[in-house]
Amino acid sequence: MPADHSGGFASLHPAVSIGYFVLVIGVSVFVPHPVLLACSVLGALVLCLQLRGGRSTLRLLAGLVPLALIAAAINPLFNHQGVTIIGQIGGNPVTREALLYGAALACMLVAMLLWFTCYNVVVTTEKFLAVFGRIIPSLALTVSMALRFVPRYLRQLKAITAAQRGLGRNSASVTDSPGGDKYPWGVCHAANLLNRLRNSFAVLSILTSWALESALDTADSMHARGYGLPGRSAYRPFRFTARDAGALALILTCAAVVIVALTSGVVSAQYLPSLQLNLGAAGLPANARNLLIACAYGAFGLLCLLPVLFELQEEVAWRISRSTI
Amino acid sequence: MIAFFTRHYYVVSLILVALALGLFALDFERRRPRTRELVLVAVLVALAVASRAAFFMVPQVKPVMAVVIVAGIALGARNGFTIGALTALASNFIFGQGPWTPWQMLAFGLVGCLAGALFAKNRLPRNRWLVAAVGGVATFVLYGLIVDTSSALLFTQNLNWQTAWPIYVAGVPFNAIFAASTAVFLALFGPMLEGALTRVRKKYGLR
Repeated sequence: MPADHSGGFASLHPAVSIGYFVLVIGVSVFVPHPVLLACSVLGALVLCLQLRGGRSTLRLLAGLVPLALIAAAINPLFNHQGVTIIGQIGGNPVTREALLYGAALACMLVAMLLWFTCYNVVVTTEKFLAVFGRIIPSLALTVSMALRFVPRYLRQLKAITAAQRGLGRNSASVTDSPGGDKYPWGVCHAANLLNRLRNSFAVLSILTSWALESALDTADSMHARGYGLPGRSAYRPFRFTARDAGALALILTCAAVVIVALTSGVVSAQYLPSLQLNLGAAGLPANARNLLIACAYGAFGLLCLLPVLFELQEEVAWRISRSTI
Repeated sequence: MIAFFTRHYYVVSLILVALALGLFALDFERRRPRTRELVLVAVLVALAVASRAAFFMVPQVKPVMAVVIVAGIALGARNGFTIGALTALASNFIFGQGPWTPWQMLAFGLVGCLAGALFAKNRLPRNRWLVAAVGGVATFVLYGLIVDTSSALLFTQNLNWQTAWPIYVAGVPFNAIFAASTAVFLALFGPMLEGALTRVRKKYGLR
């Protein structure tokens, strides 16, 4: 799997992909409906497999499953509502409804974390900053400067430590022993702990001063070049294309159907005290209700599988173009 | 409508957190911060993120909150919130964004803000031990409470005491280690970092 994932779903405009994730994660944490949750977990899992590969996904699941089990167990152990009692633990009743509700909450957690894993692959830092740079330019600039400073500081830290070592000042952050292989750490330095602490003080103080002073030079340079003056435009690395518009239209249509079904209560889930699905809007005729339910399931299913389809399309296009060489 | 809001604790609280962060962002943009101010905030965020990255191998033992607290003390409550919130956001670009990001932003921001509110303009004496104690307690109570509430909401959706207390109890050791290490880092490096900040601000004539 490529580390830099840029084809398929990830090649959509960042505003579309960020909006997509907000929508899907929002619906997933909002409604503990078994069908919708199943779609969500399935879509996220397949996308995760496509984006990160089998091995990485398995490792992720190994961490997720125990977490999900804990989440599933907490509810029936501490929540004793529900009409069907299936057993007793420590003198307290365990009900089937609380168990199911716990399982739904666990699915919710898994879906959310899987979607976030995909989010971290698709919406890279530069995409996030490109979208938020238009809404909150100063904050986005601050974050992107800070992210650029981090590796610079870690490098400068090494340089300062080396220079200090040249002066005979050893600091705690130096990992190799100056005595070479002749003296192990303990012998050479046990008595000097205080000294080393003092030296690492000096190193951090130098780094902080250097960081602040060089940054203020940067600021003056930016100011001199007219940062913040009105009428200045910024480079936009992402373009909104017809493909983005199509994807956005599809996403919004699916979302509209799902939201209508959810707000009218036609698609709903209640676990406690008894399990009841799709109870709302009882005034509607049965046909219309069933149609809306089917449409909502279909729309949410399509929504969850949309990135998977984009990835598949990319894969097929790639295969075809390779086979015609 | 009211039933809706009382049923969906998680979503509603997330919306409230997002609203709070949005208001803060709006305030920051409205102020039209000067370039130097912007860069100063970026440097402190970067130092805090680098300090989290440098200690990546030890869980919870991280100087990141100590940096945020000193920044709040030196630059005031408002900047303290900015630096705290942006530190959480920026460091999660490295460690992975997740449902925890907004809560961490709020928690870090509030601790930085509190430090500024208490110590800026010499309201409280900037004694090494007092700063360390207040910083440790603020981290344990404020940060711990917010972050544990977020996991309790995530695990149980509808927050009630019966299902939530095990999560709070499970969080105590983690928060205690984080708070204690914050206090130790503050006691050791706090005055040095604050000294460097004050020196540079004086040299460049910043407010």
